[in-house]
Amino acid sequence: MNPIIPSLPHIHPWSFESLGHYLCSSGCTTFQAIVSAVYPAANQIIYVPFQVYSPLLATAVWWCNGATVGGNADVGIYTADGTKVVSLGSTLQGTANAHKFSTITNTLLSEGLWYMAFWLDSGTPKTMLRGVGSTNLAGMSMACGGVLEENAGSLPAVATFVSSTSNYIPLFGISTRSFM
Amino acid sequence: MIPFSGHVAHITSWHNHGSLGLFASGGTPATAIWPTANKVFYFPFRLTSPVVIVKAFWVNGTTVGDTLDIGIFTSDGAKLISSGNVSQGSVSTVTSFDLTDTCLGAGLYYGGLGLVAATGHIFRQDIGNLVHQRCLGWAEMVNGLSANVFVNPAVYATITARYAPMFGFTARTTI
Repeated sequence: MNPIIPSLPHIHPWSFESLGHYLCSSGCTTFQAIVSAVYPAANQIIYVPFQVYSPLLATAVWWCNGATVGGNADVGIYTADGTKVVSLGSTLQGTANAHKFSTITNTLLSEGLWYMAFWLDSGTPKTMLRGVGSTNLAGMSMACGGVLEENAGSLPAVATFVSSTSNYIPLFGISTRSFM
Repeated sequence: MIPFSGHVAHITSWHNHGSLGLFASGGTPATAIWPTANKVFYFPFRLTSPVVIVKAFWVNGTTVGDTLDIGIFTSDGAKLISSGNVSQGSVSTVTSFDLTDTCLGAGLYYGGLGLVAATGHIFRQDIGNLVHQRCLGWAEMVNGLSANVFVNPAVYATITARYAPMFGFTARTTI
């Protein structure tokens, strides 16, 4: 029997349920090193895997904006085989250097592997907070299990995962709480 | 695969696999004045198996003389156990309080700490910026103390002060 492992209020790429172990043990970055950086490419979707150890009710999604905003963003949740189960829908990025927190349709996630997906419609001035560092590697996201999809106009109903050659991991996530 | 074992000896606000993890660590601890009178900060932590909590502790800064309340709440804000109003203790020391032994089952909880006046200093970690601290799940209640003790139930809200006080709980009788 698996032990009960409840989630913390927010799950993000640096969580234990997600890439946190890999990122920290790789020396890639620490949470404090997350800084503002230009989004890699317009309409790129970044999928980040996470594990659910006991059922959780996802009630909101969020992302952290960098120093420049103005794009439209979306966050969604996908099954392990790439089927979208819920998403916020295209939403104005929000305020610079602040998080954007939005409720979604309450969605119960069972134990297993899931992906959280982040999409931004512009890759030039709009920035997000990401992990960087002198030891950061191109393809670090791929090495940790992240995948992406290029040139998608929005979050698709079915994802087409491709290998990620990016070291860009935005700070975004899902929440079981009503506030950030 | 089990990614973590919950806690080792202490459940702390700054580094615990069952709590905020590696991502809350790395900031340099420093003494800092409590931001606002009667404000309570709460950090989430999870237990994967039952634990009997027997003590609470906090890390005093370079100025003391305040009083405080420290305790544990459910994920929806109900107070389970607390010290009541107690003296802050000595300068620059880890100070503990014997709680009534309380068994907590597996689940999500919040540890809370509030100072009555905004005069005492607590060691706190500087977690990058306010946005980062919010991502880790910290919460606050502006007037979380009333008549020097916790308001019950707590009403968790978005933190407005970049301040992650160092405090925690343990199943040991020795800190």
